[in-house]
Amino acid sequence: MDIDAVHKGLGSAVDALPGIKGYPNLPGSINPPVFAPTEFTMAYSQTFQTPTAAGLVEVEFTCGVFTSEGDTEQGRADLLKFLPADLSSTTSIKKAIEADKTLGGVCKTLFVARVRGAYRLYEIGATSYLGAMIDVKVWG
Amino acid sequence: MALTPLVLTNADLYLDSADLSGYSNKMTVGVKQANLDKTTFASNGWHEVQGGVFDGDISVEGFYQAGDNSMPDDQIWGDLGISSVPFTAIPNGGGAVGDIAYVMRALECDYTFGGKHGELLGFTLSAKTNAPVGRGNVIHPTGIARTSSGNGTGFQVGAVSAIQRMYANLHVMSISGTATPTLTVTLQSSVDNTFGSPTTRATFNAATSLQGQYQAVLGAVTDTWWRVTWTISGTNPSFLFNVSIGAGAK
Repeated sequence: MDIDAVHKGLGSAVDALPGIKGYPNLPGSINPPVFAPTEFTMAYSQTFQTPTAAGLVEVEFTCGVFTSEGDTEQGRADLLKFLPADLSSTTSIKKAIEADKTLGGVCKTLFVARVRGAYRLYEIGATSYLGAMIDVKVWG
Repeated sequence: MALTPLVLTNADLYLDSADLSGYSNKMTVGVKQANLDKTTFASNGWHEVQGGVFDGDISVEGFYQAGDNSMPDDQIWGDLGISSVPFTAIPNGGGAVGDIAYVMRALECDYTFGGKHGELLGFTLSAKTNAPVGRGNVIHPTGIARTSSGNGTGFQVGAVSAIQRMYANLHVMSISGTATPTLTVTLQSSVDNTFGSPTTRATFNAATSLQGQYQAVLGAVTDTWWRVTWTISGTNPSFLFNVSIGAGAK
């Protein structure tokens, strides 16, 4: 699996949503609302390899979504706007990412698994931003 | 000899025309023999047993996928109820000539698929062998496409005794071309690796579709070298196939 291509695919999928900027990686300074993949955990050899293909790998990408400098009412409202599981939402990050489960052919499938640490303050540079972490499982 | 343990990462599992390797992550092959108690008062206080009937079983776990007969669900489903499905297990090596192979013919007994929400859909398959299990080697590799008639690389699999057969599985896993691409595979043996005057031991049926086939050569065969030859016809034909052979009880 091309990790860099998945980062770009995740960033592009969220960038298509109104009201949020999607990046393939987290910039040194941001102007929220912003989404970006941050770190990943990879498990090799989920299937046997074949003469022509490596075994399936499972990668869990941790992505950050940051909606305001400090803990603000607008930031909380924006965060709730981007996190719903309701697939009728037009601003759902889960819906945007799962719209193309191969991210344009760079992985076999994916699943937006969970949100963690919502309403927590995350430090980027010297500034604290209200945000949440989103875990995306990707297989390729 | 120093221990060289094997990390199980590139086992090959062929079921008819499906290469299950890329879809599976657990395999077991088991062979057992009934032990019949023949203990008497003269057994000096120890059980004595007599070997009875042999039994072989295969199990595979992996990820569900359907589409055509190169994929697990189509092939497993299509083979339900068939008592002689060719099944080859290669624990290590990726299906290259000389890799150790277990050659079987089996009845699928238990096929289950399912899983938990948010996880990849999985399957399990259990099968029981319907003929002796042969242990030998791959003699035609899986990953090399054949586009014209030719001879394979010989490998010294060994002789076949009078109480054995050489079991052979052919798995045709990919076909392309037009004008009915056709593959006919023949199994040959030779006294040495020159194959100066080889003996044809078996010929598989002409294959024009994805499929698996099974052949058994009666012992005794004193030749120790074995290979396959193949004839290919059609327009721009190309085949991926594996042949593995192994000697087992008659």
